[in-house]
Amino acid sequence: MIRKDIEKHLLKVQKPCRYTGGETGSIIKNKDDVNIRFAFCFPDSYEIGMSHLGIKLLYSLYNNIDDVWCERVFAPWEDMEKVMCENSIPLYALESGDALTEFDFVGFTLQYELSYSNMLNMLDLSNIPLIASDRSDSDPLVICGGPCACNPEPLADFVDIFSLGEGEEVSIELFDLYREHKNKGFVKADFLREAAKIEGIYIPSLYDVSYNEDGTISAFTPKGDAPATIRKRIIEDFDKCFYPDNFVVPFIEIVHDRAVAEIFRGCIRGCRFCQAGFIYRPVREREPGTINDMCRTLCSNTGYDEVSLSSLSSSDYTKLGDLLDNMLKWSEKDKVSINLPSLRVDGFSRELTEKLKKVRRGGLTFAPEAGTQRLRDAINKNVTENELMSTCATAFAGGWTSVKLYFMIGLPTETGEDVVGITGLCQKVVDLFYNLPERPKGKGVQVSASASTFVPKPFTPFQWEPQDTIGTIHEKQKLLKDSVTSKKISLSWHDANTSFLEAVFARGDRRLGKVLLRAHELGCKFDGWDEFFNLDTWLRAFEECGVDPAFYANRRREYDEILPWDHLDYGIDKRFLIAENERSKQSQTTPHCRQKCSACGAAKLTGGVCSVTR
Amino acid sequence: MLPVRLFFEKTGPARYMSHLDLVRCFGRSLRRAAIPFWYTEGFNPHPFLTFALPLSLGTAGMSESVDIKLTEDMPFDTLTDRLNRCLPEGLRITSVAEPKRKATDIAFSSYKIVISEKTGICDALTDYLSRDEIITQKKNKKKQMVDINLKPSIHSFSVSEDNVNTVLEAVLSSGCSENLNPTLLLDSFSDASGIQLDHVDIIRLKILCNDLSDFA
Repeated sequence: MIRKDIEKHLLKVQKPCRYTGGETGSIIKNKDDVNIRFAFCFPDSYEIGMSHLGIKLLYSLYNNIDDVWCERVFAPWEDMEKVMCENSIPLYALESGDALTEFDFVGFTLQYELSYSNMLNMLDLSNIPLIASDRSDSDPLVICGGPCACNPEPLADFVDIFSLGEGEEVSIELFDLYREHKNKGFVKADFLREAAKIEGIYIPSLYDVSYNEDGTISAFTPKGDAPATIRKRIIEDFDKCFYPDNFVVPFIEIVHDRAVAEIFRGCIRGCRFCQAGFIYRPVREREPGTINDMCRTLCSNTGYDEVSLSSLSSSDYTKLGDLLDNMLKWSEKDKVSINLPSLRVDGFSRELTEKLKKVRRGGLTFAPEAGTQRLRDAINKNVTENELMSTCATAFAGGWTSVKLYFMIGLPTETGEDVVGITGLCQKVVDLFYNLPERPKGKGVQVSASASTFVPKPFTPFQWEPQDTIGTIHEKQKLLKDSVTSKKISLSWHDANTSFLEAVFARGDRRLGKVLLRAHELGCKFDGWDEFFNLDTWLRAFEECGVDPAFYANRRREYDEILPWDHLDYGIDKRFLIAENERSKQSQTTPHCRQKCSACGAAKLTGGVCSVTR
Repeated sequence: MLPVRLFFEKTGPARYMSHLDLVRCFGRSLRRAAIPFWYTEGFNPHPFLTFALPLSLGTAGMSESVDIKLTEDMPFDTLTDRLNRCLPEGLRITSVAEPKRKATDIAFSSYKIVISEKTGICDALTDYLSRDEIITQKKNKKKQMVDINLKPSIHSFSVSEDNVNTVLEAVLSSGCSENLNPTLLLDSFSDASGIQLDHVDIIRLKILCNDLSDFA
């Protein structure tokens, strides 16, 4: 529903369809029939937020409950923010056009640390008090979930409720409790105390933190009867888990503009840098029949002619052949192309390429992550150079002439040899192409290598490791750039400054709250965007608050230090993470979950690969 | 394969869709409606859709047209009903027919332009549009500013006002050889007269052929 007072400004801003709502698949309810209004906020632009699977999933799940109305909210782009401020238009939800102050819950999904400043900005644009303790019983409850909620501490000042782990079931329990409290007269403090008893719900205001003189944490103390540790939620029977039969289909082109089916959750691999590989354990698969039906229904309801089979490592799906055979029975006729992101180097075959290019040929992306075998072993990537070469040979023989390779620099134990190993590996792929008799004729090869900067994350074996300083990263980037030997290799890398800030907040504690607030006051927003990010402003905020960012980003932690997220239980045993960190130093790999159980601790969460006899 | 011309309205929130958005939206809506329509062949098949005349973002259209090819015969009223159930708010099929004219026959568009909350400018606007020459600046393909004369692109016009709004109705050149965007005309008026037009609502009423008959 587009409001007149907003519509008259729409031609002054870029891409006005970001702000109109009215997309097919969006859900309009009668306010009188609704008890719980939920504003689902994605703290980034419309195009990024609308591409996120979690919002599609929970939007549909919540709106399936008769008396719940879930609406979407995205961060307005700079031009629209200006128009809204000049005309006193508070941030509104796209479905009803209503201001966020009219909602019961204002929920944010935390996908990356660099969106935290946008979260504060969106609350501010909504005229909602930023500090949780300043909000009264009549203000909306601010709730957060998503991967970054696994270290919620930097946001503890601003957020009433964190939802840990998978949100499908816990949200419904939370809504039930809220309905009950609303009926008897809502008192926020009482509600939060009761909510803390639901598994997966963390109420930061119910805990006190104290610090040692050296700045490390000395104790983390629950108030009253709040639980001492809070365990993440997990869906046990993933095959039966709710999945949307329709998506909101945007008018403007978004980053991932296609139907998506989630084929499994978790990852068997245990790459030591990868947070997702640990916090979503254990692996739980959907049945091919279920996925096939999901894809077909979604395509016919949305009109998309492309479907993506999404997971952390799609070629690890055990029934991929069956699934693709099922899907090809209708997809070819319906002109639907199938997209398989997150392919592993060792999971690619001639047969698979033939199936994937039936309708349209997509790009090919692989992630060797490191340039040498020693470092790939240290991070437990378990991919060999021979596998990469044979995969690229298959791809080139199948008609592909370009391949994208993802790497990281700044990994623990990395040396200069590992850095130049990245371009060395790319050169080998280029040489392979020209030495291949069955290569596509009359065409050159293009190898695009992207080198991001390693950010140590909670709940990974590298959670104790220092991040390379910005200076060191710049040196390594230069080394990498100077080592390129062919015009067929195009190299890109991430800005080291943003990775530094990401590292600070990833492993930060509650003392970062005041820095975040100050940075917001100084105008920081859209920090994930090069055109907005300003490290100097952030450094000013740190300095004014007397907080040293290097303490969080570049310091090696001891194994016995109390980490800011130690009171949260994601199923992963700390002893396992320590053992993995030690094995990394010896460049020893660890077998994946289907080869051998390494006793990470996730088995206590039940379900999936942990309950399978090997 | 049967070529079919769909006439549609683009109003309300849909007017804020760009032409590319509209192309994508039509393809998806046809798929949702399960209309048997033709895809291009080759490595990257895509829906075959030919729009007669792209509409600027923000401009409403009352009789826009897009051509598709049906791969199976189906009654036009069934096509209309099925597609209308699947189009978003603001897009609506008004009629379906076999194409009669070629897109190259298009020469004019008729517009209704409502200048909101502005009165007392009828005379100034009429005088301006009645000049022998209306010279304004426009970027050419090399991105240099050049002087152009808009007058030959104005076929006819009339200006009126009610209590609150001024209304300009005009037939302007349209099509691939000569095209006048009403926004350019209004901007040149604002620049020349110093009269600011804050909220302008532009509606393309019809697409017309060189003989001024409706594009059909």
